[in-house]
Amino acid sequence: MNYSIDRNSPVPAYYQITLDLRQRISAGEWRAGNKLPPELELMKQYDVSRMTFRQAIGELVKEGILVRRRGVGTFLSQGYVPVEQMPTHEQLHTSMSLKGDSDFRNQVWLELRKVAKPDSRFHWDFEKFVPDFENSDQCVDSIRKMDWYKDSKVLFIAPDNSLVCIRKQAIEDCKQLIIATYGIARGFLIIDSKNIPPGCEAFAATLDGIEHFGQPISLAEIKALGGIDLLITGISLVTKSGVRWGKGHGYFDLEWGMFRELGAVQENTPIVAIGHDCQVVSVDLEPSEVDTIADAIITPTRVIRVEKKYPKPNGVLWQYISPELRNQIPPLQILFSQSMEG
Amino acid sequence: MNKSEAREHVWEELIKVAKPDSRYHFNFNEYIPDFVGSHKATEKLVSTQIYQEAQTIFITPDNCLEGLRAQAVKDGKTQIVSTYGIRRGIVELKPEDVSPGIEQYAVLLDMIEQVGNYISLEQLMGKYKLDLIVTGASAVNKSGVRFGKGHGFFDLEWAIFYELGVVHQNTPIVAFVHDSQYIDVDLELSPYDTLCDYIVTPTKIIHIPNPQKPTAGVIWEKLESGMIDDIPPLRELKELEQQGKLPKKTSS
Repeated sequence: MNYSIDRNSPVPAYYQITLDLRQRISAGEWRAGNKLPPELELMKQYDVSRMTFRQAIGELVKEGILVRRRGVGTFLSQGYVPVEQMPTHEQLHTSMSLKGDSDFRNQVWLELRKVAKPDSRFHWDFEKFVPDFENSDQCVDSIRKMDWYKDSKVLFIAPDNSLVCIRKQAIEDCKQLIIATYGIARGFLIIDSKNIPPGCEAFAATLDGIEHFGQPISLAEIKALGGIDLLITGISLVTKSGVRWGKGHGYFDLEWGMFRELGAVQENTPIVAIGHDCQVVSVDLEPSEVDTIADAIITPTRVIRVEKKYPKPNGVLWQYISPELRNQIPPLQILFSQSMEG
Repeated sequence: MNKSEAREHVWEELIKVAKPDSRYHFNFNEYIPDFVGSHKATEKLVSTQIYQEAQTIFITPDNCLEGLRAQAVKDGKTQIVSTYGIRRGIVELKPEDVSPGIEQYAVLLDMIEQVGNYISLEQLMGKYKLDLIVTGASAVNKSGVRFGKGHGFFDLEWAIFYELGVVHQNTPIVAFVHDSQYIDVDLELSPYDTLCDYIVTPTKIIHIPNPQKPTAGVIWEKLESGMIDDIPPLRELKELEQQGKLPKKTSS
């Protein structure tokens, strides 16, 4: 048996072991109430340090699957009920328990890694960026067929790598593009398609290219454009009800909140989430009050119209915004000062 | 003054002229910034004999070298560029890979891996000698001691190239910096520091006679933990060594 872990994976080593142990447990390698092999033996199988291994075991202890008895060993819980069969990858998302949100996201990332493209700086670190993926250009064809896109003049597009080919197409289609800088650290930029020399669309669509071709634009100037007609965002994962997770920082929610506060978008301004099929999960997640729900999801193989279940936030929810966060995001700070002045 | 103190000291001035990175904003721990006036430093370097005679140039993936990379394409030079953190190895960019007029965009980090081609160490060794090496730096002192982001990637790149035999003691190394990064500070020198022959800024070129360039190759015991996992060329180097494909080390 080979229990080796993939050291090139963005999924932490400990978590790969947690997953593997979970599989071994549900495959019936040990019975409920039985003792697992000694720690040292399992550590050897996975070729990891004690610290990593204990972290892996810790996850299963937290879930009540394993029980640790001091000086005796680790046991499969008496009450453990084996799952009849291991889920396939397609079923994985539905059968996963949602106890640990980040665990669930890691499952998706494990799949995503197979089709994703690395970032020029962040390599495979999905906590830092939303990757482009194989066949993302097929999402472009789908979005171009949407009336939302056809009728739009001003688009907001998130700075995700998965949206490079949509940005390129939007420039070719002579749209005005508003793009957040990474982490909104330098606010927003506007790319006016008229200013992009032919043949340079592909460059202007990358994050490095935006720094060359984009012009800084303030919230007031965005409002003066007459509002945003369509918002497009990448995702880490999204449910069929349009509840999405990004890198986990909630930047898109902040962007929406600012635009909404400003009056540049309305409740019915459409939001399209772009992702690979493996990022669309069939579980249902209850959104929090800051979650900005997508109206449609586009993958390389399909377009999912979201049946509207949840409203979008109607502004920035200042009670959740720390002064530190405001300091990192210049337009948020400005908006805050304005809202204080009434 | 130690290196990290010197780094902090320089950054206070550098931020006044630095350009942000598309991802890292102004976080100089993560990247070496482009700066106001870098095109003048490029002009200065381009006017030197070492540049003009070079056919193949190794250029680090620092933002201040974007202008130089574009110019090198226009001048018909082949460039070898490491990926950020050497995480995806090394890229070969030949002038014919780039259509005229788009040089300055093709060399951006987001594009260069698509426009150029990945090259293995074995291919590099069979095909090229590096005639010139250009690196950015957080700072460099009057003796040519330079430091980068603090991971030692440049020293590692030198060590790898040295083991491959594509560089030698006389291969010129240029540190390309803003004047505020050129400092009059004594720094402790370790035997692993790769010093530069020239410092090029927007206003001047400084020559350093006989700078130290390590000949020991990669010191495997000295690598930061995780580096062998993270940096594919290190694994390839080890294989080449085991297969006896590396040139014999000459001590000098």
